[in-house]
Amino acid sequence: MHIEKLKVRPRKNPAFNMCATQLNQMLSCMVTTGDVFHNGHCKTAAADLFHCMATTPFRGKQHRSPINYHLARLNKKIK
Amino acid sequence: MFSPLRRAGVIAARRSTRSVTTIPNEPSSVMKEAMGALAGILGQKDAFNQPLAPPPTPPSLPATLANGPQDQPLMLIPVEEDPLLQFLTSYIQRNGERKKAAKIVSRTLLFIHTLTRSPPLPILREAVLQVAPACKITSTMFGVRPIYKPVALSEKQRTHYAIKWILESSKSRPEHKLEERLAREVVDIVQCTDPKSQGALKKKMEVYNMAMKNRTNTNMR
Repeated sequence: MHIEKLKVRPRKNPAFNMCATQLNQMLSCMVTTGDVFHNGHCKTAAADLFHCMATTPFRGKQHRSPINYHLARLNKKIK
Repeated sequence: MFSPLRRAGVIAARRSTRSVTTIPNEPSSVMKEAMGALAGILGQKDAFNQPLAPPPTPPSLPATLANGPQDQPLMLIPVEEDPLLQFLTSYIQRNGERKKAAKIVSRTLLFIHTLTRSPPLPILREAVLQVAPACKITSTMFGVRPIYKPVALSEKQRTHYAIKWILESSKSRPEHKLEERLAREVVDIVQCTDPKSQGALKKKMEVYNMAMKNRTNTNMR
């Protein structure tokens, strides 16, 4: 069997949403209590989010699989 | 006399940048270590904890020079310029004219003081803290319709948005000079009771309302 272009669609890396949990908690708190400026009940939730953003390291480029490079390279060896 | 130590302190402190919107009386532990590493001969405890306090008078050389480093009191050198003022000056300056922008900021603080009869820097800091949003909204197309996703902001980004919105809302004021408009805007933010009527706070509220509506999208791609 001859395949002209041997290629796969590799899986995407999982999305990196920085401090998404803390942000979600703060926004949920704001919706339930109505504390839009996080001065009262949501002050601790906001403080947690700010601390998370201050301490979490930024994730750079994620590793992408080179499967297609290898498939293209080895394609000519397949009869 | 302090310039080599100040330079070393700046290099040590750059590793953990002093935060712009935190209250000056609460420095981070890493910052304290950086300052502790410069333990010198002349010491004054807690000088860094109170950067707004009057500068310390240098005492005479004590007899503890001969002792080990454990006996030397800490020398805490305060930073040259407040980071928030530095940020504001950088935002205002155009064409590299730093001194012009610094003069505007200086006169803004003077105006705040004349309006409130109290120290101006805490008021400015409070206004920036009140306006600074915790998140922004990013939109991506999902087929035909856009998906709005709230994204958390770092401290520097939050300060940037706060200063941007304060300056934008101050443009609608009738005063001729930027320093006066800015000062009145800052005082208005701190004294505001109804956020819907205040320009910068209204902008923050819009962002937060959008974020609350789309809070399920925070974990999306």
